[in-house]
Amino acid sequence: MIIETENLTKNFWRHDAVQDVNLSVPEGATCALIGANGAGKTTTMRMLVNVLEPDRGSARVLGVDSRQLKAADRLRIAFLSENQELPDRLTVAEYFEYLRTLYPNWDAALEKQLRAQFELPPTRALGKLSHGMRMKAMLIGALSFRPKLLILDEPLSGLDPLVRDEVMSGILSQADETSILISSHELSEIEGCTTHVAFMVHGRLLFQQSIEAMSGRFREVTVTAAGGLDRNRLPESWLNPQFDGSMLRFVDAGYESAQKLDAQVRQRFANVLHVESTPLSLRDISKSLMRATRQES
Amino acid sequence: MCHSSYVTPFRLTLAPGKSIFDQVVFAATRSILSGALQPGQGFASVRVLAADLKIHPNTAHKVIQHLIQERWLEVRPGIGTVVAEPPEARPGDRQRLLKEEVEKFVVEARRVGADLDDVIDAIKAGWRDMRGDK
Repeated sequence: MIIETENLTKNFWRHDAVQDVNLSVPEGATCALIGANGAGKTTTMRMLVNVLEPDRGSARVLGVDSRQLKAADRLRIAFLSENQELPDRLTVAEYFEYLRTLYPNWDAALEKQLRAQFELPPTRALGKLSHGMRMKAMLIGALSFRPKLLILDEPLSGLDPLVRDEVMSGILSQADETSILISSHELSEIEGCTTHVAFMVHGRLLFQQSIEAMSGRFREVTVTAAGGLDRNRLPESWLNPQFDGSMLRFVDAGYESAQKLDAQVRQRFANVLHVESTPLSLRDISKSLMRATRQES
Repeated sequence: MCHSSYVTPFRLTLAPGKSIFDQVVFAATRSILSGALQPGQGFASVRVLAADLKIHPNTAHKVIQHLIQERWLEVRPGIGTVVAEPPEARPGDRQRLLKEEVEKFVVEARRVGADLDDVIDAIKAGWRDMRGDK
């Protein structure tokens, strides 16, 4: 495992930001860390790179306890977050000159290629860059030392579709050499390159799975009956049920097979005509989980 | 880019529930059979395929390996991966299509209430699209 946490916990004042998270990211994976705003994704990532210290539990990153990460380990881990601070007075060219001296493993050819690809103006000060250009500059900084692990906190947020594409292709160009943990709300953008999904709700890890296993167990289900449907007690794995006369629609989070689902439905309702189930995209699965776990406050 | 590279001549709109690998393999074989990709033409590299379709490079690698193994593509030393002559069907493929696949399709057509003429028209339209007269 490239990342492995054990009961990782962080409280801010009395608020449980991250609670007993046991996250494992296998080597070579591109793991999407998904959850609503405030679910604890950023706090988790910050503990992994030792920006924050856990209150309880621990995290091992590249086999090293996050609190013991040394400079040499930092040469193999890149962390990119949208609210990262940059030395605003340096120009783009000066910034990369500076980074080159920090990393003995810096790949100057890759830096050059990405800078040409991203069309960054070399003489402009970092503080004068647009949000999109700042993200591109940070991404070049993160990719050019060819890290073994790339931790990306919302790398796509606030970017226009064109820049999102460019940033994604930058990330993808190295996804085969690097393990990636990425948090994002741009789920349609990252679905194709995601191999694993970890889903956080209110500071806890709801589940972590390969994307194939996850898409296999979620289905949107429509039940049509002759006449009205009674609002029976439904299984907990049937999310967001909506009754509409002789129709019931829900998301099954424990789908195994059409036969089994059919039997489950008919066991609860007498006059079922038709049960239809359709697979869902990562985005739709996440939306239904977020809706189902939304806290009334 | 400092070296020439082949673009991916098809787009991918991810359909939920099917593996990305299967979807890309299907899209690639479709574009070979339709003539959008001609035998001898260069095929996109792993990196280009991954970047164009926004898929993980490991998946792109698996797709290309699979297409080589199934003889849709061939490796020419010094040139790269090129489109091969469409491979001959395996014995049994034709039988499987005309019996099993058609039966499944007919059942599904009946279920959604399409009549025979609708189905035949749809097949004809699909057949024309694949002739690749472009």
